[in-house]
Amino acid sequence: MEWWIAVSELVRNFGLLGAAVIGLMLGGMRVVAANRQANAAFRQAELARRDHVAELFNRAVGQLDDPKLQVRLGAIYTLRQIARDFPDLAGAVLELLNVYMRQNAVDYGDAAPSPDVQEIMRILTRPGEER
Amino acid sequence: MTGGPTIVRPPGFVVDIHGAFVRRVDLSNADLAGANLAGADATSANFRGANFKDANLKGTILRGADLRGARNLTREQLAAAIIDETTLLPDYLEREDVASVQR
Repeated sequence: MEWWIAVSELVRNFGLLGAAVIGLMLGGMRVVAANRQANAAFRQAELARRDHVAELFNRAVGQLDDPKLQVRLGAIYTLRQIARDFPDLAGAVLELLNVYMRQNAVDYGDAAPSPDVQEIMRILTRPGEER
Repeated sequence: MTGGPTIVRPPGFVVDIHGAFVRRVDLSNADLAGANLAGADATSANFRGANFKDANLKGTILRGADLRGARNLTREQLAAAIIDETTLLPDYLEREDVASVQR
């Protein structure tokens, strides 16, 4: 009789151990799947963010030639912010402003420089300045 | 007001505004190291404290410009630029020295 009890306990313990192992494996698989899902969501959000920045960049480039000073200034501030928030785009922004200064050399005589020219030169020559 | 992080220049980037019109622009403390300002009109611009290390000033108009306190500016650079008696030079450069290089 005692022998049967010992055998049944052994079987029960093995059963519990097997169930625990299977539970752990299922839990682990769920964690991996959740992790993959989170990574995919993060990548998706990053792509959407970069799309948005690309749109802002293109719009700002188009506005640099606007006849209204406030529109040009807004475009320059947008480009400055993009260069700050996305260091990998800083080179593109600075090069763009370089080209803008060369291609749009407006002779304003001895008058004070336009605020947009002043702001572009500030960004180009004092990039580390917080403002 | 601060705008959060600052702009970090990528390696190799230099200011290149050759031929630009920057009269009376405030370029005080500007980092112009390696910059190309050739042919730019910087008449009466403020360059106080600016760093001119290896900057190209060939034909740059600096009439009336304020270069007091400018750093790393050489006689050779100034001789290549267009200056006059109204150009304010840094303490370490004499107008005669610049003229002697031009000759």
